[in-house]
Amino acid sequence: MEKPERLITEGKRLDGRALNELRPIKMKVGPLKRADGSGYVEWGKNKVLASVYGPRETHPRHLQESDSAILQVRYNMASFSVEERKRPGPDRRSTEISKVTREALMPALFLGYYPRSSIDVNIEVLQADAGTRCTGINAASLALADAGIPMRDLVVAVAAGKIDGQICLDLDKNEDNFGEADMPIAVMPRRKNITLLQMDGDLTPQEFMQAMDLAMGVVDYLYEMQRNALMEKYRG
Amino acid sequence: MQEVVEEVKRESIRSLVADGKRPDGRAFDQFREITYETNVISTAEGSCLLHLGDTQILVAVKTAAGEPYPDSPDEGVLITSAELVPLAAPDVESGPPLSSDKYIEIARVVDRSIRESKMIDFSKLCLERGKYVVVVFVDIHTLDDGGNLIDGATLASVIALLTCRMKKWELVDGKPVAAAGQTQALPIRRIPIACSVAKFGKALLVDTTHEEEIGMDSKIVFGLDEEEHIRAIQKTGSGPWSREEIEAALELARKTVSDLRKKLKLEVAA
Repeated sequence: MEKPERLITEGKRLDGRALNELRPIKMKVGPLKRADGSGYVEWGKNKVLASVYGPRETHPRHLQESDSAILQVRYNMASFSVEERKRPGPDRRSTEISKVTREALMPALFLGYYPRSSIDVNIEVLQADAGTRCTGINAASLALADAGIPMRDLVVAVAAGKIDGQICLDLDKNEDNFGEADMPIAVMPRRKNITLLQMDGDLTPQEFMQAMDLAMGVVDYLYEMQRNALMEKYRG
Repeated sequence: MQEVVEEVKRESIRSLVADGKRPDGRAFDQFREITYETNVISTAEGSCLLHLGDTQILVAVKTAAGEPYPDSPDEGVLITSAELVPLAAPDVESGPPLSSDKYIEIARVVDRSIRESKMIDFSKLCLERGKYVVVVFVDIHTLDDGGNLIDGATLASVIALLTCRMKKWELVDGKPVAAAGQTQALPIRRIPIACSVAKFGKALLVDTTHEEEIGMDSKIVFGLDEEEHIRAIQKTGSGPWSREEIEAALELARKTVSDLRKKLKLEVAA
């Protein structure tokens, strides 16, 4: 797609959303049977699966910690998940996302309960349209809860950004490509603790705080969605 | 044994910071001394050996002619890599390092400040649209890990780019060649500076040493341009932050970067 003349027209974005509107979101708990826990999230055109195995024996063994479990996260994009086929396997981007995702989830877990063991989270992006790390964190949060891992709180994630000079919520692919800034955050909702924060682009300090407040404003809504998805599985 | 020592260090650093002190006696908002030399590597087109307290980082810049990315056919390319060489710290394994996600993150965050601030005018590095552009390689070598690698690596990279005399690439019979004996400055527009703010409970510190980093909760890196626009942010480490703490960290980073700018007086070469 060529750069459109405007990303916002009369307060509406290219896909018809208002500036503070999320894309349609669906969450499902337990789609995978072999995994100890799993979650699936559709977020606009993003489709992301997450599985959890563990607590189990640590591989490789030398990563073991004597006084706590370790959390291992692998974020992976399927080769077919983007327009032009991606070479399969990890790259620098996915390595970084795996790292920040692990750090986003860790504060929610009581890792001290399981010395020497490993909790392994796999995030598989099946279809991507910007916002895959946030979608993946939401799916992983559901999968961890589904696996019965003791948690302080769930973890929700969402991005805010800037397009056509205006701060808005949840950028899609075109907005990310042609916009001015993208800022994903992850939050433990009960105490509004921020566990992931990244940004690339151009924001003034005022715009940055505005973007953060916009994202923080939908945390409780996403929390409710995750709780409903979890209850849905165990109710039926 | 290692784990016990780390735990003891962690506790001692945290209790010291809780008393308002740092192991080396600095104030929480005080940077260590920065010194640097440029053009230390004659086989590179630009280089900077930076000392930030005990941290030593060597950055070298080289250029080559290469293909542009399909989505930016008339712009040069930036490739940033970071390596911790085994002489820099006791726990670095030779071969592909296991903790390499830390170094990939350093390279990507340094790259983000340079790229998003539009430091280099890549439109001036196109040789033939869609076919040949200049590729700028920034290679970060951490020689001695004394902490705060991201700020140090960003600064060393920026200085190496500012002082770089790149090869003069031109097309001869449709092929890119480096003109013999000729060099030129990179097309520089802005000078980004990064400041990481580390959180220890309620305390916020800049320019943490390796020893202090053992005890911190996590840190947030802010990449700022001359107008104090934020061009890059990265939270690194697992400890969570409140909105208010992030706002305070940004204020501290702005003040620190503004002081560093006054002190370092970096300029685009004429």
